Amino acid sequence: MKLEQNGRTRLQMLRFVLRSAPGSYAEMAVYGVLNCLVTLCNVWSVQKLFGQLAAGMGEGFPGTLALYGTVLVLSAGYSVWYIRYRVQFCVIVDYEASIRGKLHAHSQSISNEVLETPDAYAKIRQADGARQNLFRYGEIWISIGITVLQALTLTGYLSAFAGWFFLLLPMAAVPAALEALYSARLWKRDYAESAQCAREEDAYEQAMTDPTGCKESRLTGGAALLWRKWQSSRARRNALDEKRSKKAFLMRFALLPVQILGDTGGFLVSAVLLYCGGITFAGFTAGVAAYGMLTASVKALVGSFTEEPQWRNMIAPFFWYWDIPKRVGDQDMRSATEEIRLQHVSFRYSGQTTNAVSDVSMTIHAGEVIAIVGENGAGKTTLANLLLGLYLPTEGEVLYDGVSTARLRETGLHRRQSAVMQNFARYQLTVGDNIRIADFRKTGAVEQQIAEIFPDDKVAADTRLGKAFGGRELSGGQWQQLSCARGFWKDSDLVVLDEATSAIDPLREKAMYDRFRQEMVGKTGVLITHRLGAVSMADRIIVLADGAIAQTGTHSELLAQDGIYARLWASQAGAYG
Amino acid sequence: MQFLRYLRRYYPAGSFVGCIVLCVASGILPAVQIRIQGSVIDAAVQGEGMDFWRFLLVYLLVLSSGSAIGVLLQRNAQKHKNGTGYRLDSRRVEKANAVRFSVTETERFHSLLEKARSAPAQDEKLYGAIQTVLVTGTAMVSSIAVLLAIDLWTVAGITPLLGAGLWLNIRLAKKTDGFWSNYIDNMRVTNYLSTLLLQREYSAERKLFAFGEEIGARFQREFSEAKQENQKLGKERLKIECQLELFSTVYSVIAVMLLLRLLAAGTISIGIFTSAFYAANALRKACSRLYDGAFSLLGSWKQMASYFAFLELPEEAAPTPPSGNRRVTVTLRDVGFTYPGESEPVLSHISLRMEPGKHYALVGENGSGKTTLAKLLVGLYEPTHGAIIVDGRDVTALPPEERREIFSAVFQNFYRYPLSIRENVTLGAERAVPEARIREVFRALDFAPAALRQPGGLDKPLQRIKKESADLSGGEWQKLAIARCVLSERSAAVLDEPNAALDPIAEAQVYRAYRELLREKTTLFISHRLGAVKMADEIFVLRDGKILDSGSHAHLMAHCPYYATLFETQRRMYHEA
Repeated sequence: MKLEQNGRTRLQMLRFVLRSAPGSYAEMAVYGVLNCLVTLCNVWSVQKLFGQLAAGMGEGFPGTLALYGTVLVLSAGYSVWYIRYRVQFCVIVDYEASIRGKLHAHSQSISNEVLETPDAYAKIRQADGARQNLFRYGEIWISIGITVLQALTLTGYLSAFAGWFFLLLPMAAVPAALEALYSARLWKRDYAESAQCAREEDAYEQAMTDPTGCKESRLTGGAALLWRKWQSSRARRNALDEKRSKKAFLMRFALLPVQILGDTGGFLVSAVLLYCGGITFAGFTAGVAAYGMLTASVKALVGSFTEEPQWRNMIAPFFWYWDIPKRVGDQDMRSATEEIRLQHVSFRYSGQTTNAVSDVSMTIHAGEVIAIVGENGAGKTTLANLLLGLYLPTEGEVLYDGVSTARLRETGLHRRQSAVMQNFARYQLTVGDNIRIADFRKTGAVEQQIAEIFPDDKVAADTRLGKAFGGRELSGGQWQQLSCARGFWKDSDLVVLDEATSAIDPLREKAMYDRFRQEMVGKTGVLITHRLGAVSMADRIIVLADGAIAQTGTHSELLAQDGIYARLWASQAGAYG
Repeated sequence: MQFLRYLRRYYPAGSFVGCIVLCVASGILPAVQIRIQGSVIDAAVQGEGMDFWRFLLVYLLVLSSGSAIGVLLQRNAQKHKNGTGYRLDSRRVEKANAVRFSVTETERFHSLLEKARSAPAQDEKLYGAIQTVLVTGTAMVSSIAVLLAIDLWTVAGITPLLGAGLWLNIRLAKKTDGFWSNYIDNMRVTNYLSTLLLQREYSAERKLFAFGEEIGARFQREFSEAKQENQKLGKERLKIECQLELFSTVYSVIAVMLLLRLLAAGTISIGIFTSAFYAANALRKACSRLYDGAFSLLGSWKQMASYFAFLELPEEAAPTPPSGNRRVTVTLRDVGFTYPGESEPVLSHISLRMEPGKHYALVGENGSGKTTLAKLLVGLYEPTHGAIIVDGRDVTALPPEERREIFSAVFQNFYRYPLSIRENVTLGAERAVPEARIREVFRALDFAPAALRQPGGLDKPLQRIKKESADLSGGEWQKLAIARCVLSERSAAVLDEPNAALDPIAEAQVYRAYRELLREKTTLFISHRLGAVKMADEIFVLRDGKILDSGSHAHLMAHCPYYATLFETQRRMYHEA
């Protein structure tokens, strides 16, 4: 699966965005065109107003004044009501709700192994952040269209009474465009280096201030080195900023004559025409007013064009996530699984050169408890994920009663499965929800489970957990016990326990395993551990080494062989001999 | 007062005075320009060639200087940002590095640090606001001057209206203060629910437990609540903004009426009428911007308070260099420790003695206070009760940094420093460590990552902050932290569950290596896996923050029932299967 920044073109992105909220964008275009009309009316009413003023205010003057006022109110209405209220508080918010809903649905439909790359966490966060800018990206293109329309109609209107006004458009456009182009080039040149410095600064500062990093750097006295490194990166970035700022300043100074021409253009042309009798005083005022609006819209246009690539960069991470193909199955689960069979199953993580699991074949029958043991990195957890159908094998098949997990719909596949995962989640919800989240539909009380985990504490089902929301913080062991309670809350036929007691005290660990024994009655169980003392409850033990099955058998059979299992056992049990 | 001190410290006098001059000039010029505009119009309308060209030239000159000043101001602001922003950043990191260790573990430290990080951005806002206040203040005065020169009564007529406008502005600012931060606060729960539905760490349980539907529904519910709350605020803002717009229309109409009186009476020409009309509008805009500027000035200054609070945190001095492999005796006499703000002590009445070159172990259940005791020993914390005595000298009274020259340490969690392998293992070393010695320790620990096999691998940066960076696995990082401890020139070492990320075989190997590498040093091993440390010369049994018993393994098995139970429970996992 390709996980690099994917190559959606500008047009494809725009098409996606516009299609995700066609109604809102159509509304925006209509309002924009109406605002163009209002702008024209504005110029026209100014012209009329000053024409009548110069002519000594005839009968129609109050009417004209009223017209002028109405136009002002309408154009204020556009910005105050539409842009600042309707768009900000209704359109964008509704869009956010809908696009986030779509993103959530998408995350349910992709296969988990796709997310198993070191940077997936950051990339998902970036995709979710990029989501915020999607609507704005469409808005930019709509506003570009409207601004062009506005600039053209204004120029057209003015040219109608003096051809010279045609000159105004380039006069307004050139200086702004030149400046924008140059600044963009300057920025582009050392963007990469600046960003690199900023990344380094962050990394060093993190190392100095992170609770763990701080502990060691203070103890060893290494903090001074980190500070020097930070300083050198920060100084380098500052020098780049300063150099760029100086250059931009010189460029602006050099462009000053052009800019002045642009700033005064409308006034100059209008005044000279007025002096030569080419236009009336009314035409003059209209010219000056229209030129002001023209420069404003041209500046906005140049701004939009320079910003567009930045916005495109900002939304690109969204598409990385969105374009991950959905996992689709075409078969539903049969009621109860008789056997799970692995046929030459291999699995390789994206970007890795070796298999995490290679050529594993085995069969698990309903009601059987097997243990998977092996050293860290032997592939135990990967194998469990394959068994559960959370990952799809890169080679071979995992068959539930003969049907491959790649063909089964995930909703049905997981319905009768449960697990206590090695990297269990710590939900910042209530204690009750932490258990019931395994199956929200199931009714019943969770009080007894809670009392077992917190024997001498007053913790209720509605006690909120997690510091982030002002809730209670738990120890690692308590969180893990909660995850065990969760695993057994859900009614299931297949349970995977992956290092389910790693953070639990030895005294309690024993009790936990006794509990597991009860819960597993009548279920198919897979027990994963690298601490061999816990495997006695298994019917069969599978020893993994480097992703392949090295040994299979019962505890006593394996001890009798002179293999990995016997060695592992000796190194651990020996300590308690 | 503090504001003035801040200005004196962070705003270089020369460029700040320059800024004031530029701002004043840029406030005056537009008013002058508006006044001249009227003269140009009059000359043009009356066809007075000489005057027309003369005024047009002056107009051009005024406008050109305005543009030039604009460019200078921009550069001035950039320069300020590169100077002051840089100094604020440096001061923050320098401070963070010097803050007392126990403070760095508090939440307050991290929240202040996070806020202090935005100080340069706040200062940029502050500087911009100062500029705005200066420019608009001058603009107001000069607009009034222009109007006064034309007609006193017009000024008298519109000034009360400005007061009304100001009142509306104040109301708007009050309504919108903290607007977005409020919204973000309302969205926190919503965003957390979204994380559950998107992030990788929840992907396995999300699929297995199919909680997407319920959590998705909660998300939409929370979202629409936040949306409604937000819309309410938006509507209030809309209401006041409408009033403001209405007000500005009324203001314009009244200004026109007042001036029309003069125009109709023939007191002023059409050109002067135009000037006065524009000046009145400029006055209104300047008045409202002045208020915005002042509000933003106060706001950004208020934000800077967290930066100053951060700078006030208590500091510690840099650690003194270690005095070599001295052989020391460490005694704890009746030591107790209570975390700041807690009422129950974590440790109480701890007395123990560690002799040179001997190996000790500290065992106990999770939460018994093992790690806190380690932090006290190495000098990260100071005891709240009792004394720590090194070679007969009471070091409790010494600042913690002086105690740190005795111990090096490896903790459960270790930091992955974005430095090279060499820098990582010699972090804080006074003298250069010979490469042969480093390699010898690496061999003993069986530390041979891929990165080391390449030329210059020892000096290659780790942690992906640079393109050429290499990375290590979790187990390799842990060995690196152990190597750092072994190579440091301290006479004693604390090892707090240093094997958590290692598998059993590697664990056994590393324990053997420890014994060899740390033979000369006094060591304290901390573990809750009793089998791992039973070879220690003396074992301290910690329970509920007190030393329950101590002695050799054999002694404790015979005389300490608690220890025997702990050991037996763990042993039974292996030997009763």
